[in-house]
Amino acid sequence: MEQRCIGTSVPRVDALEKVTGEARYVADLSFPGMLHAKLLRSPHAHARIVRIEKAAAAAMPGVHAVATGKDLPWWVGECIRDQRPMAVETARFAGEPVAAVVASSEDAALAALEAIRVDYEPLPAVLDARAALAPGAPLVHPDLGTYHVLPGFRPSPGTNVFHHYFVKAGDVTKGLARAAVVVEQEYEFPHLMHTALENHGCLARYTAGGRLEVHAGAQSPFTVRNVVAEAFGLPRHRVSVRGGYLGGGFGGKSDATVEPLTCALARLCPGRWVRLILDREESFVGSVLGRGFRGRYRYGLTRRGRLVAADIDLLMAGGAYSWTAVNILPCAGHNGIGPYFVPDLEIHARGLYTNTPPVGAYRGYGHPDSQFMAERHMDLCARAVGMDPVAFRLKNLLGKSGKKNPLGQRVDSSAGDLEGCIKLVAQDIGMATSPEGIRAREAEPSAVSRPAVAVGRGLACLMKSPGQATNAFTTVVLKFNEDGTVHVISAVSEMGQGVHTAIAQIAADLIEIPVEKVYVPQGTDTDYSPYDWQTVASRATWMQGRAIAAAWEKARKELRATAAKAFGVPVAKVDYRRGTLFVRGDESRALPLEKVCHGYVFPDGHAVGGPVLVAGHYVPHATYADEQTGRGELATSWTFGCQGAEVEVDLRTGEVTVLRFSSAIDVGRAVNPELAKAQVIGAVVFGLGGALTETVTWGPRGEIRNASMTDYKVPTPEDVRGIDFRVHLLETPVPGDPVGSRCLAEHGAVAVAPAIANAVADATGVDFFDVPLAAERVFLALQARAAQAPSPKPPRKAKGAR
Amino acid sequence: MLRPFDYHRPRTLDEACALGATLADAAYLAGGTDLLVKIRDGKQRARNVIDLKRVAGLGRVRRDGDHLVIGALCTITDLLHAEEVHAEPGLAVLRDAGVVFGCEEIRHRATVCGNVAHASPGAEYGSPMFVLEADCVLHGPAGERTIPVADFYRGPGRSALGPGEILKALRVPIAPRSARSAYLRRSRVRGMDLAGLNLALLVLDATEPARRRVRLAMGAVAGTPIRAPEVEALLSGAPITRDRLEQAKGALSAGISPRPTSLRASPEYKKAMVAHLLEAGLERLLEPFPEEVMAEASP
Repeated sequence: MEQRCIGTSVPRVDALEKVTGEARYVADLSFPGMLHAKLLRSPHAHARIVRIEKAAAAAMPGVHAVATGKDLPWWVGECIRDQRPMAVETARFAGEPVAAVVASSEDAALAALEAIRVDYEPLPAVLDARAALAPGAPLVHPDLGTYHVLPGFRPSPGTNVFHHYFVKAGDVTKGLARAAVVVEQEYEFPHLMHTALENHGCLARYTAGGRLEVHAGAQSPFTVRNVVAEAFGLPRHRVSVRGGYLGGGFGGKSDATVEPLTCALARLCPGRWVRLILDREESFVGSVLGRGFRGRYRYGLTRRGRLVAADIDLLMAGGAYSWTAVNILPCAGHNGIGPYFVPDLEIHARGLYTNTPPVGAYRGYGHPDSQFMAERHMDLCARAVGMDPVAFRLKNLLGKSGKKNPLGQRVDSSAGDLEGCIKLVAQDIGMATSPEGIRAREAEPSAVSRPAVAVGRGLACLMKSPGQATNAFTTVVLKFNEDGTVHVISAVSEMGQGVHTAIAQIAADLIEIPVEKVYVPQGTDTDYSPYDWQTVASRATWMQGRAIAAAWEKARKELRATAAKAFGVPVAKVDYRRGTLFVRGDESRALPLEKVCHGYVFPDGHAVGGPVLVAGHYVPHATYADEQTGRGELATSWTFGCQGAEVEVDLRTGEVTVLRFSSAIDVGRAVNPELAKAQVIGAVVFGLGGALTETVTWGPRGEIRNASMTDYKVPTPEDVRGIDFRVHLLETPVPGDPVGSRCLAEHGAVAVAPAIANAVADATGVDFFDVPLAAERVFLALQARAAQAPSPKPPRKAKGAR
Repeated sequence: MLRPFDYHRPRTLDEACALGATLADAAYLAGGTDLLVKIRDGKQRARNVIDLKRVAGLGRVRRDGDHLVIGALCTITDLLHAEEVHAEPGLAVLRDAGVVFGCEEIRHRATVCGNVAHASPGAEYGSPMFVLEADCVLHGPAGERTIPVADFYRGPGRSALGPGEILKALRVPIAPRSARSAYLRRSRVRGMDLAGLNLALLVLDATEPARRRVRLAMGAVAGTPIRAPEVEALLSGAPITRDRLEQAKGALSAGISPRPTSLRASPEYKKAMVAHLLEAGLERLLEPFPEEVMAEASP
């Protein structure tokens, strides 16, 4: 089949709407009689709510309802139902809502909030994963054993562990015992905030007829529907959730966060729309955080640099409620060694309840968390056996030889050309890849460009599979119009990633019509849209492509049947190509698509066939983890790549300047190369934030001290404009795939932190085992090292043993 | 969310002062870039906001003999575009501070006097006014008074402004053209950020080591911007050799004890960075400086 649309960089289908300001977001919505909700939040990380005095607030002008947790007696939670819409009896993190006001204006609601009095009795709090794991630690959920839990998850009542994922292969104890060299190190990837441009918001109303209507700024309208329907015991057809454009999601809008609470408040004011829009500061505690991982890595190697054993222990400070943090654990776990072959391994990933805001999906979903640690550890291991980091990685690569990954899946060269990716990146940033080049580089004097500045290079590999439920279906509807144009109706959320453009391109390509004839309606309405699990996990374009192919298969069959009647020939004799149905062997007998797709009308006026309306769906083969080994089909598609950085460290200030950042990812087939590259660069910049400047700063009582854009430092254009970004999209064909694309979205954020930390170590000789590598931390580390060693070595350019 | 307030728009300075002195929880608004944020965050109660933008006589920026007069309504952008500032090397410190002030949008809106009036220890225009030894012209219900900027700052967020008083203008002495000045700072990102710490430098008679006088002030290292007289003395009146420079850097670091709770920089980092900024600033201002230092340093 001739391809015309996939692989071209058509302009974004949503560009005009967005640059003109026509695009509407959830906060733009307004309805007659709409009420406004505001929340009172706990100042304590862990406290018993002794008493809430709300009468004065309820008597204030414009107030329609004042609610406390006791007024909203429902349970919510996606995997483990461990939360109420608002705290009941116990506040479990600083920022948890304890009371709400619904009023005729935001001002009235705010004024009433100030009239609510809450008496707390502070309780001992656990603020990090190790404290939560310690014997005798205060329990965040003493009633964990009574909660409803979905299959596949393993909370441990009587502890703070809400899930424990592990995977085992071979015998790690024997493997480590046999190893000539063992390298052990602890790492940390602290909590981060998504800081999407658009804050979280929701509008909800109970109709007179007993239906619940919701407008959500959500990545996953169907998941919101599921969570609120389960919470309130409503049948699915009595709940409609509408979603539209998102001003950024990054995972922060994939959990149902503000939605169950808004719906619960709407129940108190039937017939009225209730609107809850968080402000920036609130979104730090009112939605979800990301990352929050610690890890202990222990690898065994041969003297010649072959990995033989890996013992990895990961802990996640998951916050007070489990949300989808539960699902991050397997992703962080089975990806925890990166794309390398290790025969004997054991990986544990435990999620811990802590008295901090809940952790949810965050661009990369566990993969950047553990691969930061794995890829830093690879550099440490290379150094321990005196090998070049590139050569060491190439020696231990998983893919080429068809060896098995931790899940037991055989990964061969058809999964992508990772070796090619590594070589491209190494070349871009000036790291050698051949033995000759490595020797030449080692022989170089350690030249430094300026005395006050040290230059270094580092790279890191990445691998990612979509972390999703085993039955995470996607569906698409093709609706053909009278003139041969097509509506492609889908419930995936357009949040800036360009997925609607990609969907239009795939449909146009498969149907062989110009992309201008395809329209992807914006917005999801669970009453009308076909089901999609969630717009997460870098899955939307990949999953939708396969669903579109399935739908087109059905549509084509229907079109041929109608055309066969029109031509008066058997269906088997009718074929379709480029918008035309024709009789095979006699192409003079042809009908354009528009004469067939809405039924065919004979010269005498009678019609056959009908308007073509077909649905296609897709779900990859996936299983739960095996109870004994943790293995199974937990990963359904792999994307591999490599990222590398050349950095300059100012030794006088500690400031790290990225000179060049290169990414090479094997995407199978780039549906829209320019959008794909933009997606990768956007993800790199996002990753640079976490690598260099962003981190949630905790106060001693578990409060977030920097919950604002003033002090949570996200990179701005000024911070990235000098960087030479390079992106290589490799296209190793995906066997048997109708579209040929692999997942690509979060991948650009996966290996940024380790690449930067490896480059800083190369430049300065100082190893960081956590992020961010903020100027102050780098400077103080350089100073500490200078204080340790009376005759400091000049900044290194090359590698070598520690 | 912005709390509701009553909005007043007086036409004269006396009318404004009268409102300011009599209305409950009154606040003056010029640019509003600090005030509105404080109201929104609940850090300032303001039931009455008195907008000064229509008040006559709060002119923007002008030269008055050997002084630069920065009126209450002079925005950062106004100052950056003022020819009176461009011509004077002694006022380069004002431009340096303006260039890194907030972002383009905020520079159009925020005023220099407002920046000083809020008395934030790390305000971009605090330390520059200290080295320039500017005077604050205060207008209040009881009339007008002029005080040195060092007396204006009383502590973090606290100033000498009395009830109803307005910081009407800053009067900045213009140093002779043999002066050089600079403003340097450290921030966490290159894009918009508040200064983790800052340093303003004014060097009089910059090219003649024997007559040279160095003034320096730091921001965000104490409750107000502060000068460092001993360090100034060390660097004045003689060639700045490596020894003297190191001595000055050491004294500067040792002389400050920043609070440990800052989100923008730790005390250790601030101590190290004031020294770094001092060296970087002198390097920038004193062209023969490297030779002075090199001459001493080479065996």
